[in-house]
Amino acid sequence: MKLGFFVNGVAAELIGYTTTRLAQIATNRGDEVWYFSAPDFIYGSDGVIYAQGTAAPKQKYRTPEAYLHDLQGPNAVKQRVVVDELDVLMLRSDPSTETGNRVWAQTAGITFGRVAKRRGVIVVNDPDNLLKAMNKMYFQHFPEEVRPRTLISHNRDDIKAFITDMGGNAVIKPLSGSGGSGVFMAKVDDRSNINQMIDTLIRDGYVIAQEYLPAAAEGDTRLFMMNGKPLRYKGKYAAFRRLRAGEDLRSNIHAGGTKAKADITDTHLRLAEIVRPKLVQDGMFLVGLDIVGDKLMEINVFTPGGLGSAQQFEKVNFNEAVVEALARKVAYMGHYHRNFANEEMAML
Amino acid sequence: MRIGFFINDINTEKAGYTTLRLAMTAVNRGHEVWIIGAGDMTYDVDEKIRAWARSTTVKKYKSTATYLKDLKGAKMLQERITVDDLDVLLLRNDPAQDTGVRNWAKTAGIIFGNVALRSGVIVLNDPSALAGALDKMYAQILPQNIRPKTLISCDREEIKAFVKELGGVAVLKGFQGSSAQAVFLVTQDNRANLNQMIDAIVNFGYVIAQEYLPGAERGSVRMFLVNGEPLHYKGKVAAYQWVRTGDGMRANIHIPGSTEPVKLTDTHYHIAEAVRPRLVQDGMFLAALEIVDDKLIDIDVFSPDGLVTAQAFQKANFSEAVIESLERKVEYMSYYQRRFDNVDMATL
Repeated sequence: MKLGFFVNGVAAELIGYTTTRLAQIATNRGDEVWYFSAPDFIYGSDGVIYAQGTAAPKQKYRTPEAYLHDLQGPNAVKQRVVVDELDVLMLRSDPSTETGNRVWAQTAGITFGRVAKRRGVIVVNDPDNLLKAMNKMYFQHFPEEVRPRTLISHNRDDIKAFITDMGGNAVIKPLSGSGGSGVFMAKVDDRSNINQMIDTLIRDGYVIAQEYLPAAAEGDTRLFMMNGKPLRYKGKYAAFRRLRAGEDLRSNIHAGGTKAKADITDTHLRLAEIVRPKLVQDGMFLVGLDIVGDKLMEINVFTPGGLGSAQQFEKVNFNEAVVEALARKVAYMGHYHRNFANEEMAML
Repeated sequence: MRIGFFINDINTEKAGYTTLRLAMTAVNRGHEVWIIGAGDMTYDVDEKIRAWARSTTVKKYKSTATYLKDLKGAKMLQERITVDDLDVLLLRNDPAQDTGVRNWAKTAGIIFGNVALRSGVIVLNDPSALAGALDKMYAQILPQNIRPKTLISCDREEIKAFVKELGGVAVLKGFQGSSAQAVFLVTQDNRANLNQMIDAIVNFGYVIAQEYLPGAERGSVRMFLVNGEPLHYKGKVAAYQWVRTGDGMRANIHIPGSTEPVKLTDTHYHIAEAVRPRLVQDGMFLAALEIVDDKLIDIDVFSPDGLVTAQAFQKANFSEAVIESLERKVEYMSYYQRRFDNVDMATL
């Protein structure tokens, strides 16, 4: 198959990234694999979508290191690709890292992906729904019982009243963007900074205030969902635990911390079952759930990372399962001559 | 009916705006009207959307100037309303006005509007479709034969080649985000500055390069569509001619120019007809087309302004027509206990 990965920047890709592993496996299978980043698309005057693609030379790569070395090195193939002719375009960029002058790059993959999808390219996750997930309100569309109690406001007094209602402990963070920047913990025993924290966030827009779950002190469990179901391969679940590093609240973010093997319980599977209908409806092919206790803290739909960590603990190469799932979609699409709704194909 | 107007900010609202005219018309027809600024929404702990909204105690207005004064003065009524209980929420904020530190305000109406849909509020234009129209790709998915020849790219050589192909005359504009206001006309005379013009845009994202239409010399025709069709009222059609004065290139942007009545031709109706399926499919209740020669150069789906101008030339109260159309939707919705797809309802 012809596979495109849309990433933040080819040069910024790392060996440990899930994208790198997916690309390596696909290349080894004999697939044609291209990387694109935000400025690479061209909407041609002939109405065709092109992109400046980067690829590692076609050969078998023994490790992600070897693959990435060739992708980023002088041997890389750079060529103009017709995006409309790809079988799959996988959007794997993290919008939250595109700030300042690069804010425009946050939506580039979505914008061009929305056009490509109309031309029969399988675009995952579904770009129209990724657009809705550009802010954390997306999470509020999942059933109430799986979420911590939440207030979203631009009014300082309302936010303070909520924190008091929660007994003085709450997590506050910006509504826009995904990821962990600007996450604060309001604590009952330190109320001195509360105004400053709220003001800092309000300056940049709406603020989400969330009930603090005591279980978060121990960290969280990341469980991968594929095609709307927990990703299970060779009898193992793609999941791992993240343990909190000291006081840092952001267990779910790149804030250090250590990882451990996860035991997937009925509570986890029940949560996965509750989010399933919405994920299916939205064409969210590959998703990472962050679970604390019996609640979801976050649903990462943009570029869920950590399949390599899951592999390390479970000794199963989950990336193979993902590439196989994509190949199956491409085969389906062949039978239907590329005439099939993207949201549905994303989950088949 | 209970109707909310979501705007940028009451302090930047002007008496001549179409939004205020629509709101005043609704007040005069006996409706409960609330004005909501971009920062006024709250996602409350009980999962309802609330807003600090403004209304007035007076029930009849002759001028929008008085109405606006009252909305800010002693006759103002401010209350925390439950947005879920509204019949209609009209998203009338102009994202182009909210740049820099107010960037967050661009999408606030879309984000909260999407949640209000859950309670059967008619949200117009449909918030998901608006989310997809934040960049200029929206026009590119309209039929090709009604659009000027277009290239969208970050690649300077590509853009230069296209300008050359067009005979050295082209319009360059920003495609998204903070560059959307930059518009340049490349001519034989200023080609020496082509690199600088491209740079001024490309530093903030994609460049959209378009063929220059000779008719743009004179200006453009602005035509309003409601429910996907030209807005007719008492035998008149809401449209006017915008006349370019001086050297300003931005025929499609609000810079001072003059306006005059226009006689619509078959060409204008043909373009409106070609756009219709798309607007209906997307749930775009109110839109304005900008037409030069036989091409659509812009489509305004966010907060189309100028209805008052059309009203003055045509001597027909188009605002009444818009509010009547909303009343009909609210009636439809009552037959179906507020359970009806928003996108379908938007253009019924």
